[in-house]
Amino acid sequence: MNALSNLFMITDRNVSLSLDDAIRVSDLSLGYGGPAVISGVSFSVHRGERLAIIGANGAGKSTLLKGMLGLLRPDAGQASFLGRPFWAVRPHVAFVAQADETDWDFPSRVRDLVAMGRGVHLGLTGRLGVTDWRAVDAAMERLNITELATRPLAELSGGQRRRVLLARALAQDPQIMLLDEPFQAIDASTREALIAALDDFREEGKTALVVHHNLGEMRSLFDRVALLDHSITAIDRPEAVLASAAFERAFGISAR
Amino acid sequence: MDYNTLIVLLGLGANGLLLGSFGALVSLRGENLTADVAGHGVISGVVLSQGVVVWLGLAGWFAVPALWVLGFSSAALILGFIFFLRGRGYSVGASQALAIALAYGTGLVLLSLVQATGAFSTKGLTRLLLGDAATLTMGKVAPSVALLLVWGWVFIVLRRALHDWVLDRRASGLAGMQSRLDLLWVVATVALVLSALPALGLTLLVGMLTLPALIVRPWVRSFSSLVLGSALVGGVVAATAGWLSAGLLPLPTGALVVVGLALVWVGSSFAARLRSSTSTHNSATPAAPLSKSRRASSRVDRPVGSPHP
Repeated sequence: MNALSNLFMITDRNVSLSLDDAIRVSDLSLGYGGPAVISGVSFSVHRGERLAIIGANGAGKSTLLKGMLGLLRPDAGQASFLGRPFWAVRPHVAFVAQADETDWDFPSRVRDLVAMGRGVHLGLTGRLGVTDWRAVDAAMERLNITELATRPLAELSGGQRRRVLLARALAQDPQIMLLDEPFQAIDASTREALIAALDDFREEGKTALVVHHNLGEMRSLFDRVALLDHSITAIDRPEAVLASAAFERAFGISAR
Repeated sequence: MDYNTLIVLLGLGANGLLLGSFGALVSLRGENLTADVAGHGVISGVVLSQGVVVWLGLAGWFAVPALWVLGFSSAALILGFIFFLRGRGYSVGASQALAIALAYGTGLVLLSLVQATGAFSTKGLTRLLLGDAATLTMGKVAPSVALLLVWGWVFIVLRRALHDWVLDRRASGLAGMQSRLDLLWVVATVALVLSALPALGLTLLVGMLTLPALIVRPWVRSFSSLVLGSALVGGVVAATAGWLSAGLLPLPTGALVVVGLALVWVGSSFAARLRSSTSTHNSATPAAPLSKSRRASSRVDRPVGSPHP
């Protein structure tokens, strides 16, 4: 079904925005052809919530996101967004990858890359209209990168690239964002800009699922934390997860 | 200039424009080898079409449709094999290597069988695979001109989607566009290879797909200008080589096209390096402080590929 939906771009624009659970993952198992990297993962993220996925290296965090989005085919289980599979609600779900596949030497400018976020609303032949450009400019303004608009991609620093990719996701105007380690290797000002953008996103009642590494700032950044160790071993408020035995087992340290 | 020369120049110019512009997409996606796979994938179809035409006694007008249908099918199958492998988790490089081995192996086996059994003469076949611009006729040029017009229209309509598809596969896939553009790309690659084969042959064809984009890349800052610039370089160099070959230089057209493109590439690379070192030197020279907006605009004006400020 996923291949067919890709081919004909089947999209359900009349999704219910009143469901309690924005994201629901049920018994998801998947791997890379060998043994399952994650197995029997089940959890849900409420509307307007910001949930962190934490786990040791190789615990399957990025794999989980890929499985949820259909980038990897699950061996079992499923993920739904706003009560529908991903392919049916593409315009409402944005993804900011960790090791993105963007070609930063590509002859293009920042504003054109951010405008890619509008592509999911336009289909193959649609053209960017005034509303689209307005959304693009608003997203860039939110991430403080308006002055980079005409800058060639090749001239961006690592932190600027992060901002640009998040701006692209925001330009999509999604209800849900999935972010894979957005705070990795960035400077303080970029970090502040990302947090401010995520705060605005939450204030609008939208949902964010963030794969995160820095255990020290869990309490201030997230409503809940899910600990992944090939399956979900703890999911609760940050303090509770950091104090759990599962956390100690996964990281070999105690945060208590 | 006589009629035949005009036809040759038209064919070379159209193929140069086509391969140059399409090659820009191929290069940006890092899929140059996939075009090579398509080229080698055509061999089996070409051999089979020759066989069908000879065995069934269908010479004349049937030869071209048979070549197109069977050549298209065999190349499309090989490209489909690449996407099948990638779907199974194979890397871009591994899938290309396996597909080239399969395409080349199948083509050679078929060719050897035909030669060993003496079923039909392979003289025309060899000419087709190696290319012979001097023998171009209106019948062979027409598909390239038609394809050029269709491709121009497709590019205008899908420019934004193609930009996104080339720039970021994953984002394009998540937006639900990748499968259809992949399909379009397979069809376009195979059609292009088939239409350009009679004029350029396999080896030249891959060079024509790669070199124009490499020549133009250091000098442009936008996707559209890269595609249009590559088209222009491909068309002008191919037609000029044809014109030189027709009267001034006693060399085969194909060789002149390759040599011409290689020379332009060397010149372009040298000039780009020179400009880059000049701009680095200038930036090292103490200068009056710029205002914030001036600094921003000076960075913006820096061309793609130049050193990071």
